[in-house]
Amino acid sequence: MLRIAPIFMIAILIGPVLAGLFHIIVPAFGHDPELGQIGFSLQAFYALKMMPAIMKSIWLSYWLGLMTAFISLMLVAFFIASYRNSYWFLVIKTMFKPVLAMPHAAAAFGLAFLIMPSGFIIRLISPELTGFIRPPDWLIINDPAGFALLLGLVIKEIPFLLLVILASLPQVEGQYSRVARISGYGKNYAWLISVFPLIYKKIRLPIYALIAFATSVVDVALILGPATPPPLSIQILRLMSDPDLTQRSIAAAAAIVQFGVTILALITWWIGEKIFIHFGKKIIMSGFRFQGDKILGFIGFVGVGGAIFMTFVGLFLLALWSVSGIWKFPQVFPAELSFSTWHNEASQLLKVSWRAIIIAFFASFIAIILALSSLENEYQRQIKLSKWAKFILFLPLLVPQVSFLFGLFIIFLWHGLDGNYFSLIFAHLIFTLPYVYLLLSDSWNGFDIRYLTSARLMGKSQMNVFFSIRLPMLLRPILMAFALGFAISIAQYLPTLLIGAGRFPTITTEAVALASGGNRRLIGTYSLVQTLLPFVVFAIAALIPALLFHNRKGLNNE
Amino acid sequence: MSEAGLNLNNVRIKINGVSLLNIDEKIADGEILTLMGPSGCGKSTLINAICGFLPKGFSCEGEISLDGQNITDLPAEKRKLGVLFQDPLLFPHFDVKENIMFALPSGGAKSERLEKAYQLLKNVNMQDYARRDVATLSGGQKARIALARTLASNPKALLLDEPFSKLDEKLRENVRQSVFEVIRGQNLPTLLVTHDKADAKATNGKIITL
Amino acid sequence: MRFSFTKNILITCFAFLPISGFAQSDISQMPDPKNWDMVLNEAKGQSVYFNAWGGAPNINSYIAWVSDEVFAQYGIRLEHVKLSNTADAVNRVLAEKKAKRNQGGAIDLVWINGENFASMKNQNLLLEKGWSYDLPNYSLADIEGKKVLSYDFSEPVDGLESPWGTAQFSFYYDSAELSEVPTNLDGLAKWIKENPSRFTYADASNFIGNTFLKQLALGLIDDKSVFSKPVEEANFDKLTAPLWAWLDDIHPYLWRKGKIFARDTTHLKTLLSDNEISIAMTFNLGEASSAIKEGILPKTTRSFVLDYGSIGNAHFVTIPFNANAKAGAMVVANFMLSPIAQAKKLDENIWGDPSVLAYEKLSESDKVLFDDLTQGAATLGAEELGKLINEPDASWSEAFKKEWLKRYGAGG
Repeated sequence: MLRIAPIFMIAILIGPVLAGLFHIIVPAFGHDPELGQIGFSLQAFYALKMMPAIMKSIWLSYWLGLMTAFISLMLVAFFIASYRNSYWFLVIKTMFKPVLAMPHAAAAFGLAFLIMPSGFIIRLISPELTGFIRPPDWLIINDPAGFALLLGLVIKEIPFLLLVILASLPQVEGQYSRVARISGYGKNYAWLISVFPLIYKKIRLPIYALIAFATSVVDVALILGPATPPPLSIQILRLMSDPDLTQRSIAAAAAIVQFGVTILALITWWIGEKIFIHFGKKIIMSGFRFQGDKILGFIGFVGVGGAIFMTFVGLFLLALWSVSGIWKFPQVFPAELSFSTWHNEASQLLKVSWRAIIIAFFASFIAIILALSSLENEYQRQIKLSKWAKFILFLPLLVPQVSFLFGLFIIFLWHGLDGNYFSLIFAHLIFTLPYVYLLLSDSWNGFDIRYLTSARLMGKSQMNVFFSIRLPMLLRPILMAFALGFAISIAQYLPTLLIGAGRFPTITTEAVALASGGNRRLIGTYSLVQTLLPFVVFAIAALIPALLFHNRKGLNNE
Repeated sequence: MSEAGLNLNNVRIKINGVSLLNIDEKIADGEILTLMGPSGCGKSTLINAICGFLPKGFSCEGEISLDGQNITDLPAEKRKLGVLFQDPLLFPHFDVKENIMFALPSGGAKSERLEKAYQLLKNVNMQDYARRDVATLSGGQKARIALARTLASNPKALLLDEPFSKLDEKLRENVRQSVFEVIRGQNLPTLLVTHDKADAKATNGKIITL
Repeated sequence: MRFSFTKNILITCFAFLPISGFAQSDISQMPDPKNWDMVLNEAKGQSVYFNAWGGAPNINSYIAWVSDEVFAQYGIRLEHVKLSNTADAVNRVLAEKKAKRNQGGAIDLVWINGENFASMKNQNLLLEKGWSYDLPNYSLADIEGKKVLSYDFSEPVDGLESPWGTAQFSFYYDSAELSEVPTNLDGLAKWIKENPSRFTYADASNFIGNTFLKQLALGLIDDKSVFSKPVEEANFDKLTAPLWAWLDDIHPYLWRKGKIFARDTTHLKTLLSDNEISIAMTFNLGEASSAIKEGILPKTTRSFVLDYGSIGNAHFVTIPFNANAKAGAMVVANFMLSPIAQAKKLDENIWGDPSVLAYEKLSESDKVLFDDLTQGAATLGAEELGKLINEPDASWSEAFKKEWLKRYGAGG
């Protein structure tokens, strides 16, 4: 059983991506018998090139991917460098998990309700400070340059980076920063040049995944992103759902280009890394002592604290809209409250939430079983994962969803596999497994295996030791990984829509369908429920070990 | 053939084929053999080799036998060894008596096992702490529980890997005395690995310096 | 102990894993609506997956009502698959055709019109000819009075889709904010320039934006008949030159200076409700009145149309060639045409979408259903609606969209 776990895992991760890509590449290069096109041609790519403003779409995707990664990484690094031993760090540590659990779309709506011209901020200061009795004609969200989208992405990626950095922090933080400090470096700067590079090495793959995600994001881009022209991923969706069916080969070509853009962004980042390391080393070797510790701290604090604060206010605004009656500009709060939306939608909400819960539960549960089996297999056989294996693990996160999901969908359809729970859970597993594995392997590697060896010496078998020592001692991170997998599954839109054949509407597909109508009360209601589901699971994941081990101090300090 | 004690018969430990440590010693029942040397000389690796947990890249030649049985190729759980590490490594999700009971050989009625666990705790003077959360114990108490737990699994030999090095100075002497007292009462072949001369002295036994 | 606990969890979980295989139906003959009793018989117990845009809660609750009714009356389970874009359903059927799934398809009924219909019809993705004309309630439809029921964007319906409702282009505004409204294109352009950033329309890839372009194009030309031919046969550049000139003229005075546009009708409604714009447009004559009742728009909201007439069309439901529950889908389509369903749809408390039935064809008892309905103040009466202009040929939509994107799609 343990031996086949890694093979299983790799099959789940590679198979769908490669097969999906194949079924996109074929029509992109002109072979689509159903539409009467046979053979090889580059026509679709020429047609794509002729589309108005397509270069701008491509540039947007590229630029957004790189900037999102750079800004959020910088802010999180500055924050941890400056606040890792402070009270604020503990505050952020407890606050960021709910933010992490919030689906991207919900966070984006919350942000929009906050910053748009008729949004909460301007209502707060109007008309007293601004004199506005009508919302100002300012281009804040959906701006053509994509700044609102960038902000939305950064806010959502900051908790993600906090998670991966916090997971690898205990493994590398040691005496390094203390050594550097003796020689007259500011403590924050010292941490940045001594400990952070080691952390960076460990979180490189998650950052690549972040870049890939940001270059091809769909839901957040629909809400906050520019529309004329939109980022490439949205352009692909539009082409895919064009009633003119000949546009489909162009959509396939665009999906290939999207893959290329993501790769290009990754290569750029990789080159940037090299340059950064080269000059960074020179600066460090020169013994330069940066005296801006306070500035670093300020930037990090405002960035990370602001991101988390804004998400919470956004969540509050979603809740407020869900119960608002008439709410005219510039009233700060609705003139009347009304629970009619909740009342009218209750049965529907229950139905689609339940379905999402079932899918998310199994997609995360199976991911946990597979990841645990593989990790235990690695331990028992003393195998260290090669770079390649790790890369494969991240493949579904590095290849843009829009580039392979349509192809995967065709395959499922072909074999009549779409439209049932098994396939849906499988499709979600592709995305939950890498994160669950990543998070678990950190705690796995940080575990003192002498506990296991001493238990073995007491005459207990490998399996016995696994179940009675390793599992309970790692229960907390395992449950956390489960909650993360659950949250990731809840947020999946494209896979649910495509593989579910539309017959399995979940809270997420409903939220997006309703959002297409722009009704804020519904958006508020559905986004709130969509946020609460993973939220509750995170809370339960924290509660179970707290209850089980309430009198076990050794397991209660995270 | 049916020699009692722990027999390290021409044991050679190599790392990637390069020789690291050779030893050829017999430890009789009740005898404590001390192995001294600086860190990195392979002391701890020897303990690992005896337990059957050699890390990748290391190899072990020769024969290890216990009470006449060749254990060189047995899985760890069948070697009947008791080990004390630098850290007490008490399982944090169990309380004190559960830690002991986990180590007891399986079988027997629950009341019987509980009785045994209390006996073992009494042996190290910790019977009043049976229901305590292990995280709330002091370093010395933890060390004694760790010893009781090691003895609970009915080992045929004891291996001590710098068992006192993490205790603070004042405590160390005290714990050392009580631990060796208990060990002497067991009449087991014991191998101590340390870099602390005081440890070695307290054993009143043979000392090998690497 | 712990081991068996974990094992138990595992076993329990797998035991509960819901198994819902894909039910492939028997190779069934196409149900014949001329033999309605047989259709009803076959439909009993079927699940009908109705793929329809799901962005409007009032429409969704109307569909939920339909689903309750067809279950009670015919034993049909109607599932509303909420789409964010109808073309998703078209794509799905095409993908199924490519995968040779010629029966047991995932979609049984689609809410459709215009280019999506034309596309499905031309790709042979629809059920064979003639079924909709034979539905029992079709005899009540106002075929004689409403040409749009027979020509969907100039594309002959040919019995491939069943009428559900009609739509007409109109504007609405808050009469408390705006005392006078422009009723011709010169006036509209003048008003936009005098009130900068208070007007916008939707992106031309959205149907309301696209319709606005058609409405303008038809108003800026004398011979409107040229648009009823496919765009390939017309001189697009020459015919649309006045349209682009008009749009260029107002462009700098639009909301957000024309850098971005509204997404759809609901977005326009939200912008009006936020007081970001002063005039919004819709294709649903009852939209403003419904929104007043929902508390989204002020009670002083009113509607108006342009003096040269307004574009009108109809929307339909259709059945894909490989639908799994064809009989059930027909029964649902027929129910949607029934006087009770049409009257309910017309009710502004529910949806406010105009009926496709001919009043004079109804029985006395059915007429009462319509007589009892009152219109909100924001809904235009029959005499205020003005002339109805037919949609251009379906091929124009794509041409307008492409050209518009070229001109305004790069964010100014």
